[in-house]
Amino acid sequence: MSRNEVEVLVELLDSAFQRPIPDNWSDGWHSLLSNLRSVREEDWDWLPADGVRTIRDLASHCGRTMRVYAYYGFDAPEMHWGEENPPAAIRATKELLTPWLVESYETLRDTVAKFNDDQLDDPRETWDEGDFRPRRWFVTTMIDHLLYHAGEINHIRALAQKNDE
Amino acid sequence: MTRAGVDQLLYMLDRAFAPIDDDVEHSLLHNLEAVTEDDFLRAAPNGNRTIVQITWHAAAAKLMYANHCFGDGTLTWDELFNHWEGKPSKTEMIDWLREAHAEFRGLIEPLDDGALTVERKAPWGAMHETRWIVAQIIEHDVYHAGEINLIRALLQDTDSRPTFDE
Repeated sequence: MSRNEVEVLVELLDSAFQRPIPDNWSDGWHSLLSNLRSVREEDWDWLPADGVRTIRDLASHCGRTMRVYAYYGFDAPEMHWGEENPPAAIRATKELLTPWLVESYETLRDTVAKFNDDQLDDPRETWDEGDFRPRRWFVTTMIDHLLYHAGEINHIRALAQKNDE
Repeated sequence: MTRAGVDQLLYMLDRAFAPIDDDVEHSLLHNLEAVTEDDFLRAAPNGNRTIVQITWHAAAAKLMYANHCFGDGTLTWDELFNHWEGKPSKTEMIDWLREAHAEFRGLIEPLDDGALTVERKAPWGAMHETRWIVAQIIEHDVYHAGEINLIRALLQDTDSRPTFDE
């Protein structure tokens, strides 16, 4: 059973999230955790002019989405949209949310890593009844999703800290 | 020699740059679609980096990585930042982005999986595996697409949460 494609996807997922392991081959410029590192607690709920989403909203959204996609795409523990996830107490600070984010990432990563290349095109029903996507779609979307919101987080942080350069 | 890993990276590279099928949300070109010509030249309120500067940087990075990792390594950032006299329109910039993407992609397309762990020299002189270099360009496009989306949403007063979430 070939696993070349799965391994590439897992590496890209690691890089997008930056799992803190020594052999991670990205330096994490664009990763979610790298971009959260320079966020101060006072930036957590800061909003730019005409903005609606805080860094807390975006980070929570990333973690929640990884758990939902892991369930629908890769048989991880059941998780649906609309559930209070993470609980409000965990969302309160970056310090509290970060371990939950790591747990969300590990849930997705560990389930994806169990599959082989032949299974990446298996159709899976999403949360929309009758909407089927290949397993591959669930992980490629999550890789892009983490990077995309890391970019948004970086921009809000730069505006909050007045160092958009 | 297998190409499954290369093909997966090419797929990710292409979808980071432009919409593939109905996967449109996070790509660089998709996030430029809703940017007006006026907004293209603007930064977020109280911000410094304009959308044109970020887009310029995304195109220039593809050309720098192509030249330094796969070519003679003589191209400079200054040459690329002097590519335009004045500020390009969004249409002109997208054309340049497409050229830059095609140049970088064309260097990855002939590789096989064995080449992905071959080390190449990055624009700053350090040696990195080829797969790392390709991953940087994938990440770079999507990361800056996110930044562009945020700036556009703030300028157009349309920042909002996903409807299925929260």
